Amino acid sequence: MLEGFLQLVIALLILLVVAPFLGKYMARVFMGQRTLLDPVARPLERLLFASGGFSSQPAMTGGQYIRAILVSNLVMGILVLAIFMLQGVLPLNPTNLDAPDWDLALHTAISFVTNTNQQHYSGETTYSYFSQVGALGFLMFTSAATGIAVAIAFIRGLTGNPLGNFYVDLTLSITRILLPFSIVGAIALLIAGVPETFAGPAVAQTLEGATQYIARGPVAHFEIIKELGENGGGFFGINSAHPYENPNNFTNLLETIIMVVIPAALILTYGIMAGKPRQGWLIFGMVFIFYAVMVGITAVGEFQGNPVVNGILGGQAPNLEGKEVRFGWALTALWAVTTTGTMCGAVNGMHDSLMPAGGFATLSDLFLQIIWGGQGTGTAYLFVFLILTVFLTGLMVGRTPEFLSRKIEKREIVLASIILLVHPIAILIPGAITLAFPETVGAPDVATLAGITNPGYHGISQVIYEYASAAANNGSGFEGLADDTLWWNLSASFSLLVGRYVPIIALVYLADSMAHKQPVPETAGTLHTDTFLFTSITAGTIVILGALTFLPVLVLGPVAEGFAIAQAALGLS
Amino acid sequence: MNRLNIQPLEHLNTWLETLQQRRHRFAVGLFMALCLNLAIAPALYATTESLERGNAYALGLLGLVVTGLAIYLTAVILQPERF
Amino acid sequence: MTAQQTETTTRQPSGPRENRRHTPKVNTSGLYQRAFGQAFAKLAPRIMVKNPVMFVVWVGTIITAILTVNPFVFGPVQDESPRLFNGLVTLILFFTLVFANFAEAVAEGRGKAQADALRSTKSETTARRLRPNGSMEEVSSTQLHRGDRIKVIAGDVIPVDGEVIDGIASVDESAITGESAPVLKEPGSDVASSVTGGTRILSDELTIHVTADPGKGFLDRMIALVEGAERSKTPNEIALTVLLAVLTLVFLIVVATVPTPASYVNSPVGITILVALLVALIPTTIGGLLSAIGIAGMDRVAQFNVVATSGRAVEACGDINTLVLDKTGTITLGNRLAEEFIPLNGHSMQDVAAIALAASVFDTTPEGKSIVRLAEKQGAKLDFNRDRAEAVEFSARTRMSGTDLPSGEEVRKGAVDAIRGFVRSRGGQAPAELEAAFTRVSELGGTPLAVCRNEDIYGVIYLKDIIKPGIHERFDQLRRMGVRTVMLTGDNRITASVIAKEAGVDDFVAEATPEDKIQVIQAEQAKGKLVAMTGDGTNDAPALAQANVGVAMNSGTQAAKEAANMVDLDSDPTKLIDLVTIGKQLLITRGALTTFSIANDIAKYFAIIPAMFAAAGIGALNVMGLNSPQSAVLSALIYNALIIPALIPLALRGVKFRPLTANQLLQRNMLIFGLGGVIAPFIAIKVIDLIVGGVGLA
Repeated sequence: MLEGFLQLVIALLILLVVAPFLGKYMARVFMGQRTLLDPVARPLERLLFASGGFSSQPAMTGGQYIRAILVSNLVMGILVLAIFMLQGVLPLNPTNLDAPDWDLALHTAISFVTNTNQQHYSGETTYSYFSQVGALGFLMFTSAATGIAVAIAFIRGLTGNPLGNFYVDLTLSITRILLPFSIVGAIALLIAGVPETFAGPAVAQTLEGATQYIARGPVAHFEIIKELGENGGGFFGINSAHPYENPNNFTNLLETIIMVVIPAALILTYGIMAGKPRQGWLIFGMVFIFYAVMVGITAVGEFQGNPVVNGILGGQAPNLEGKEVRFGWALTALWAVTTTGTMCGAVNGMHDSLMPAGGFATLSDLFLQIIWGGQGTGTAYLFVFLILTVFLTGLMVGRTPEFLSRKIEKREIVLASIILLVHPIAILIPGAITLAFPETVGAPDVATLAGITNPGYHGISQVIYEYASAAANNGSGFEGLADDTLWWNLSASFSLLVGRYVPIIALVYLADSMAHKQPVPETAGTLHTDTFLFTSITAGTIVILGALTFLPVLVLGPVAEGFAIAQAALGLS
Repeated sequence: MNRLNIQPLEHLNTWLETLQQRRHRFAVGLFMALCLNLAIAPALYATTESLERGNAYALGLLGLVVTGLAIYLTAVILQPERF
Repeated sequence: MTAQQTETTTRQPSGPRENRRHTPKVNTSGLYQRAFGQAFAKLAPRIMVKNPVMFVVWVGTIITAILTVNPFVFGPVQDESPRLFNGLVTLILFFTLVFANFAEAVAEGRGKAQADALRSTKSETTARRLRPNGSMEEVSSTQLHRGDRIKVIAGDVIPVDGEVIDGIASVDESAITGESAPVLKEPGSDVASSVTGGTRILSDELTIHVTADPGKGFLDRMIALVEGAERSKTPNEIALTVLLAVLTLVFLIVVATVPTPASYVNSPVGITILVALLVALIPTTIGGLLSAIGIAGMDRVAQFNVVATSGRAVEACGDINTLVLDKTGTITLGNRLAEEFIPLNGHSMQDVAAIALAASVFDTTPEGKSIVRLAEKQGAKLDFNRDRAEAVEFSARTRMSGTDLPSGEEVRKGAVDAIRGFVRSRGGQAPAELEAAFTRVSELGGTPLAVCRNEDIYGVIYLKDIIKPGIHERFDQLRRMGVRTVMLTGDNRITASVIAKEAGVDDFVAEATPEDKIQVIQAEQAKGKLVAMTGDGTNDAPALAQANVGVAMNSGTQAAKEAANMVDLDSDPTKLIDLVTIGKQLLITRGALTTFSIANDIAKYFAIIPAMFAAAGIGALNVMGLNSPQSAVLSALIYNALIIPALIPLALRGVKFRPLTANQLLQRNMLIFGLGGVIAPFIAIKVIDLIVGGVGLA
C-alpha cells in the first residue's frame, strides 16, 4: 500500500517541479520573447509563413479568429475523412484494410479534429498506417495546437490585448511546443522499448504451433503526441495498456506527466502573461488540490477493492480487474484521473472496471472539465468559472463586478452562460434519449458485468460517460459499450461538435469583448481576485454548479452502484 | 442605365422579403415539428410501453410544455431586456 | 422674514443627519392588504411571463394542479394517496408564487402611496395667464405651455414649474421637500428663482415664466418615477436576469432528463416530484425578490428625499470612484464669517474696520454681513451718506466688490490678487506685508480678503471657514470604500490645501472656475473612473450632464435639475455620500440573495434526491433523517416558499452596508449568505419535516 501511495506522491511532485518551467517557457513563446529554440524554429517558421503566403501577421478580431478556427478545422476534417474513405487505395496499408463505414469514418474524423480522439474502433484492425500517421497523427498536432491558440487568445483578450493571429499561434504552438517536446519524448520512448516501424505485423509461431500476428507500427511518435496534445487516441485498441504503447513503469510515468504538464503549465502561463503570477499560482493550487482529491478518491477505492470479492476472499485485496499488473492499482488510478481530468482520454486500464468511487471521480472530471482540463480549453473554462464567481461576489461587495479591471456585464454573462449550458445539452439530453430506448439503439451489454448484482446503475454510468467523454472532448471510453453503431457514431458526433466549437466560439467572443472594455482603475473598493479567499469561493462555485447539474446522474450511476455493492457485500457476510 | 441601377436594389428587396418570410417560416416549422412530436411521441410510447392512449397524449403535451419553457428561457437569455 | 434666514433654511437643513431621514408623508395604512390583493392579481400569465424564474414555477403549479384533479393523467401511479400529496404540492407552489408577487407588490405599494401623496397636491387649478399686452386671462393649469407667463398671488398653489421673473414672495415647498420652513423666491438669483408646480405661495405675488409643458413637470416626472411606471431594468439587473435564466434552463434540462435513467434502473419518478425538484432547484428566492429589491432601492433613495431619474443612476452610485465636491456648503458650512482684521501699511485697526465697513455696506451675502457685524463690534461707523453712495457688485471676472463713495473715492474688498491689481491700476503699490498676511490667513485655512481705498491697501480681512462636523470621518469611510474625493474651491492654493487636509479629502483644485469642474470630471473619466458631483447653478449644468451621477439641488436652477440624473429635495450636497451607500447596498442585496439562493440548493438536493430515488437503495444519502419521501419533498418545498416572505424585510431594507474594503466585505457577506445559505436550510428543512410529520400530513 505504502509503495502505491509513494508512487502517486512522486508523480505529483514531479509535476510541481516541471510545470513552472514549462509555464514560463510558453509565456515567453507567446509574448514573442527570446527562447532557446529560436535558432532552429525561427527559420522554419519563416519558411512556413512565407509558403502560407502571409508575411505580415495582423491581429484578428473575434469574428476573424473564429472564422479562422472553423474554416481550418473544417478543411482538415474533410481532408482526413477523404483519407479514411480512400485508405484502400492509398499507400502504407500493409494489412490491406478497406475503407470503414461512413458513420465510423465521420465520427473518427470529427473526434480527432476536436482533439477528443474518441475511438469506436480498434486502430490496428481498422485504419492503415497512412490513415493513422498521415491523418490522425496530423490532427493530433493541429487540434492540440488549436486548443493552445484559443487559450492564448483568451488570455490576451482578458488582459486587454489584441487576440493575436490564429495561424501564427497555431504554428508557434507546433514549432515551439508540441514538435520539440514530441521529438525528445518519442526518442525517450523508443529507448524505453516502444516500436517505430512501417513494417507490417510480426508473425510468430507459438509453442503450440499456432501462428500469431503481432500488430506493430510507427507507435513511438504517435504515442508521445497522443499524451502531450491531450489527444488520447491509441495506436492500438487497448491504448496505453498495450505493451507496445506503454511497456514499463518508466514509460508510464513519462506518459502520465506529459499528459498533464501542458494544461497545468498553461495556468502559470496565464499568471505570467497577465502580470498576476500570484493568481496563477492560486488557481494552479486550487486545481492541484481538486486533482489530488480525485486521485485520492479513486486510489482509495481501488486499493480497498470490491467488498463483494473481498468477502469471498476473506480479506482485503486491491481491485485489479481490468488493470495491467505492471502498473497496479495506484498508477492505474493516477492515470485514470489524469486522463479524464486533462481531457487526454488515453487509458492504461479499463475504466469500466474501476470501483464506483473511481467511476464517480472520472465522471466528475469529465463533467467539470477544469481539473487541469483540455489542451488550452481547460484553462479557458477555469476563467469562465472565475468570471461567474466574480459576478456573484462582485455584486456582494457593492460594485459592478470586474475581472482584471474589466467590467463583467450582460454580454459576458451571456457568453459564459452559453458555456455553462453546453454540458447539460450535450451530455444529459442524448444520454436520456439513449436510456429511453435501451433495446433499440444498442445499449450496454449488461449481462457481461458479472459480480455486480444490479447492472442497471453501471449501465447509466457507461452511457453518460460516453457522452461526457465526447462533450468534454476527452475521448476515453467506459468501454463495455457496443459503440460502433450508427446511433452512437452520430449522437456522439453531435456531442463532440457541440462540446468543442460552441465553447470555443463563446470563449473567443468573450475574450474579444473583454479586450475592448475600458479598464477600471483599482481602488480599495475593488475586489481582488488574486486572494486565497476569492480562490476558495471559486472552488466552491465550481463544486456547487458542477454538483447541482450532475448530481442526479451521479446518484443514479456510480453512487447507487456503490451502495448496491455495499449492500451485496453485507448480504454475503 | 437606370434600369440597370434599380435592378440590383429590387433584387435585394425581394431577397430581404424572402428572408423575412423564411424567418417566419422557420418559426412555423419549429412549431410544426413540435406538433409532430406531439403526434409521434404518444405513438412511440404506445408501442413501447403499456400506456393508454390518453396518458401518451398527456405525456406528449408535457414534453411540448417543457420544450416551450426551454425556448422561452433561451429567449430570456438572449434578450433579457424584454423581460 | 429676512433674506438671510431664508438662505439658511434652504442651504442647510437643520438638525443632525439621522433626524432628517424623514419618510415623506405617505399613507401606508392598508398597504399590506392591498399588496396581498395585488399578489393574486399578478398571477395573470401576461404579468408572470416577465419573471422567468417564477413563470417556470407558475407552469409547474398548473401541472401539479392537473395532477391533483387526475393523478393518473400521465399513467399509473404507485403512491397510496397521490391526490393529497399532489394537492399539497400544488398549494405550496401556489403560495410560493403569491409570496413572490407579494414582495413585489409591497415594494410597489410604497412607491404608489408616495405617488398618491404627491398627486393630491397636483390637482387641476385655474391659472392667471398674462397676455403679451399685459392683460390677464384665466385658464386651466393644464393649458399652460412652456414660454407662457403667469401670475400667482398669496394663497395660490403654483400650477407649474417655472422661473420667477418678477416679485418677491415666500413659498411653502413642504409638499415636495417635506421641509416646513417657507422659502423666499425672487428673480435673478440662480438659487431662489425657480419654483415647482404643486408648491404654495404664502405671501405677496410672483410673475412666473413657465418652463414645462403640461404633464412634463417636475412633479409629473417624480410621480411616474416613484410609481415605477418608467421602471426599466438596470444593467446589473439584466446581467443577473441572464444568469438566473441560465440556471433555470440548466435545471430544467437536468430535471427533464431524470425520468429515463430512473426508469432504466426501475426507479421511476412521478411527475409531481419532478416538478417539486425543479422548483426547489431553480433560484426562486432571488427570482421572487429581484424586482422588489430594485423597487425598494428606488424607494430608499426617495426616503432620503432624493428623486432619481432612473434605477440606472442609483446603481451607478455604487460604482462611483470619484466624488467631485464643492467646498462651500458641502465640506464647509455655507457661510464664511469675518474673524479678524489685519491692518497693513501702517493703518490702525480702526481704519481697517471703517474701510471694510464702507466696502461691505451694500453686500448682502452672509460674508458681507459678517464683515459689517465685526466692523461695528470694533466701533466702526459709516462716515458717508449711504443713499448717495453707489454699490459695486461682485462679479466672477473682477473678483471684488465695494462701494463708490459720494466723495468719489473707491473702496474695494476682494481676492488679494484682484485688489493688488486694482491698486496698481490706480497707481499704487501693494505693501510687502500683504504677502505675509495673505499667507498667514491662508495657512489658517481662512480666506483672505484685501480691502483698499483708492490706491491704498488698508489691510486684510480673515474670513474663517468652518468645516462641517463629522465630515472627516465620512471621507475616511469613503476612502475605505475606494471612493476618492476631489474638492473644488475658488480659494487660493494655500487655503485650499489647509482645508483639504483638515477635511481629509484626497485631492483639491484651487482657484477653480465652473469650467474646471467639467475638466476635472473628464480627466477622471478618461482614467476609466465613474464620477459623481453635485451642483446647483446654471453653469453647473454641463458638468452635471458630464458626470456619471449628477445630483442637482432642488434649490438650484431648472437647467441644473434637467441636466442632473438626481435631484436632492433637501438641497444637501453631503447626501451624495449616502447615495453611494444606497447604490452599493442595492448591488450587495442582489448578490447576497443570489448566493443564498444557490447555496440553498445543496440542502434541497439532499432532501429531495433520496426521496426521489428511494427505490435505488440510496437511503444513506438522507443525511437529515427526514420522515418519509413525501415529507422530505413537502418540507423542502415549504422551506422554499417560506424563505421568500422571510427575506422580504431584508430585500426592502437592503443588506446593511459597512464601509469596509472589498475583501473584508466579501468575507463577511460570504460567511453570512454563502455559508449561512448552505447550513440554514438543512436545519430549517429538518424542523419543517418534524412539524409535517407531527401533524400527519405525510
